[in-house]
Amino acid sequence: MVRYYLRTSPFKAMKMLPMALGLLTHKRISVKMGKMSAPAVKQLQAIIDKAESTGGGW
Amino acid sequence: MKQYSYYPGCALAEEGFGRAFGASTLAVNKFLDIQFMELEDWNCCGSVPYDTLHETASFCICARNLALAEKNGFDLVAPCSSCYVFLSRTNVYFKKYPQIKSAVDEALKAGGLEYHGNVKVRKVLDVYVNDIGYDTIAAKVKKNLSGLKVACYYGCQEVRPVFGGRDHPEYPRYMDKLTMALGAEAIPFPLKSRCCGSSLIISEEASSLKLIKELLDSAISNGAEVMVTSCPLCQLNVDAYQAAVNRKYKTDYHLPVLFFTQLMGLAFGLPEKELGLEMCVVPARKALAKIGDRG
Repeated sequence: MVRYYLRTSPFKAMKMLPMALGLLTHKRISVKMGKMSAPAVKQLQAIIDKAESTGGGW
Repeated sequence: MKQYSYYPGCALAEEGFGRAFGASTLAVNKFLDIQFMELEDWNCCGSVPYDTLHETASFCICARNLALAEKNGFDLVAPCSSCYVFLSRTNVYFKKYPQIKSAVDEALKAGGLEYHGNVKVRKVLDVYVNDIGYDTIAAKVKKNLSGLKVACYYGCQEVRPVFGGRDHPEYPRYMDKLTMALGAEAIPFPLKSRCCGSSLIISEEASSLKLIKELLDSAISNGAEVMVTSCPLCQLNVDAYQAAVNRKYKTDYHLPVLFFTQLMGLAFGLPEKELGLEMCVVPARKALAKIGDRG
């Protein structure tokens, strides 16, 4: 979200600060991110690479 | 004990914005003797953003989760409406369209997995209603919710019939009947399956705020004191953006928006802390003050 606002509309990012703080104080957003294990990331990457090599839609 | 595989998705994960839905669901499950077994190393369903970027890959990353669930042999519960739609859609299209099955098979093979189409994807509301039942739930109620007027908001995703939803697609009733089984009053809410704007709130804020205002207008004009929902994104939009609606439209809405599992937990007398009530942006305490012990 932060990246989206900074790339598309940095001023809107500033406007969203109170909302972000509100969500943070209500424990609705976290600065931590959950992570998959390294073998699972590798497996997912292999699946995505194969899928993306076959074209986008139908 | 009834057992299911569990896909929390990014919203209900420990660091997600809908973690109160996850926490309250697990608390209610314990009380109802249900076990959700979280898939190990699940991945994001991709939701709308990835689907619009690369549809094939979107099917394949969902299929990875289905393949993991198939190993466990239980139905897969995805409480988030968006996760439910994308996992269900992959499941349905995998069986219906040979070209999609072939692409998914190849991609999964590259990751050392395979999927045979044997997983049933379900919503948590469907599990409570069809596997546990209204009567069993009503028999476990410990608190008196009578007089509490509740607007049941399903959102637009989980009711889509093409992906196997069992409730009525335009005028669903599961949550209303469940609310009544808990002893509260489910008020008429004609916009119960209307869109809240979903993630468009980020890029099309004005349009989404209008949708949220219409939902609040309808619920409040029908007498709602609380709204309950089964979709984490709907909950976030209607709860967290109420102040923005008030600023834009000069309104004064303060309608608490809970997950239906939080209302169940309150009815069962579970500790508020386990239900994540403090995570509601619009405080729920005043509206819920009338909940008393069952006499």
